[in-house]
Amino acid sequence: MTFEVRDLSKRFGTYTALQSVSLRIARGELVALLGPSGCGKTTLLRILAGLEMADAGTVTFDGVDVTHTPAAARGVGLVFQHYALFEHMTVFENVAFGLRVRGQPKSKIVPRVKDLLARVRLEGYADRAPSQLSGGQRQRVALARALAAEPQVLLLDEPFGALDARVRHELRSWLRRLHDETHVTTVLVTHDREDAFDLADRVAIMNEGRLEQVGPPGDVFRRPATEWVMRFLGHVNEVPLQGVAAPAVGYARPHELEISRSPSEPPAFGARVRRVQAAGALIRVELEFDGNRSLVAEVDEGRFEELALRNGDAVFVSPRQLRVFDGGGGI
Amino acid sequence: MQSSELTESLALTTPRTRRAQPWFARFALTSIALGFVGIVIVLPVVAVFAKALNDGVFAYFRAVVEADALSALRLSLWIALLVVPANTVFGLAAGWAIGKFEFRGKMLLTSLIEVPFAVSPVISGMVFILAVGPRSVLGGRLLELGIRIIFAWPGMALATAFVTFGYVARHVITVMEASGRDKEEAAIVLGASGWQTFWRVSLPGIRWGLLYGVILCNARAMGEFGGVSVVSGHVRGVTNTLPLHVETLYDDYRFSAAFAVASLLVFLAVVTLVAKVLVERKIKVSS
Repeated sequence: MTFEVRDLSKRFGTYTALQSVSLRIARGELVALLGPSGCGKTTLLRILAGLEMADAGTVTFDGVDVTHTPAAARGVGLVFQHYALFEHMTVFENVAFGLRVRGQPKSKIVPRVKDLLARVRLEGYADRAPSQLSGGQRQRVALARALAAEPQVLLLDEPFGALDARVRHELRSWLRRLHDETHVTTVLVTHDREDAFDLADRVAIMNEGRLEQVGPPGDVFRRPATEWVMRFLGHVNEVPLQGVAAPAVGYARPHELEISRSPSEPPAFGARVRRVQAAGALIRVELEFDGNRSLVAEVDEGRFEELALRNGDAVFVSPRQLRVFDGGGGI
Repeated sequence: MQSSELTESLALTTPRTRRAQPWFARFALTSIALGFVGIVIVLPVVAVFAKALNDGVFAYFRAVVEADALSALRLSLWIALLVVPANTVFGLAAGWAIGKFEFRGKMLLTSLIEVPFAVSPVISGMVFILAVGPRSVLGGRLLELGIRIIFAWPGMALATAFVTFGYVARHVITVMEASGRDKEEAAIVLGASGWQTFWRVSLPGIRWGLLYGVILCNARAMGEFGGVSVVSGHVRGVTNTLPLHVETLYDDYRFSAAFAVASLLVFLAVVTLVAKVLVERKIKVSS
């Protein structure tokens, strides 16, 4: 299902959670709302679910205005960070809940729940209590429960937030496979870049109640629209721009800095190696220039051996790419 | 996460503080605590039974099955039967509203629930005499219709309801707030109505907390003295509850009988305590 929000605004007292947010999500798409805590992404998700009402703006599902449709009638599936399973029910009853409250006959409920439990690989757990399951298993039950009533949209609110790193990775790739099978239009809220880049077809980056940039993960990473997005998505080096009248800076990622032993033509400039961190796919070199200004560069192993860098070495740095943003957007 | 951090820090501090206290300090503290409990609780309870059996087992049972005693027991049970369900329904409704929703007047409702805890039970009796007593407008009109509130069981039930008003609500609010709103929101998004959400999700989630409140409310209702005393009129065999009957017997210098009936209330307290401990265990297991 295609859905669209237009000019959504929401305030809580004096705090502005959303400022005129517009976003269109295509049928079968998986979109991540990415941003720091307090940026309004959860508020947006809750408005989509119908748990929160917007002060202004509209929400449409397939062209139908659902702005004032109550949550129970929207046909969305919602998964919470802390699972929100019904602790007094078995796993089976949890998954069956959405079907039972809709008055589905038992003959439909039993096969549907069994099918879903198989899909989330919890076949043998139907009679367990939620408290007997691990975090990853509980989140899979929550997912099966959300999918049971065949929602038009699946909303995931920090679904991996309460899980440890290994389970998080597993569940993430598993969720992507599940999405590729079911093609349910999905919105994922997360503050974790990896979650968003790993899973989403498109990433919507939010800051202070506004959408900063929307696009495929590769696009937003390579071509950040604002300085804020650039900083939010990874380490940023500030490099002084030469040959410009007014003092200005350009921005470069660590892997976009070239290090050499011999001076090349501008914009290369001199720097000194402060520290080398060699554990990783790329080797991380911390540099200083202009006295106390620092840079981080990443070079591959071959180049690193070629350069034979040691702490205190004088080198030349030339950015392969420099981004310049005009005006605001600073943190 | 918070609770695990808490238990961790508790686990760290408990043995250390235990070791830090010298034996005589521990001994002194324990003695003071036990001594206080002995004087304030154990001694009076023992005294009740000793006095009750002063004239022999036969006199004890005669006092307990006496017509006035049985009628007092019946009235106490009747009032509890009226008041406890009423306060349970109110407590659930108020607890659900306060624990799970934001609404105008929430602070006011929360404060009102606390009022009966703050005022003396005698006041509750007085209030009802003023409001629906024979000399009030409403009470006078009701009397003309042949309905007697004050100096009859309806007034006693009202006074008891006032005194025990917040017992269920308070416990329900605590457990409702502790369980958060996620589950209710999950249920609503899954298509459940408000009614279905309450019966299938909220209520089962707090059932032990609710039972705990009901047990305490019942104990308080059966033991209520001050408020009921004001509105009862003390008609023997008619408007005496168990606590009032104890007072009547005592005033008649029938000490053994008074203590025998009082021992029934002690039994009730013991049953309540046992039930309370069992429910508390359930709450710990299920949370």
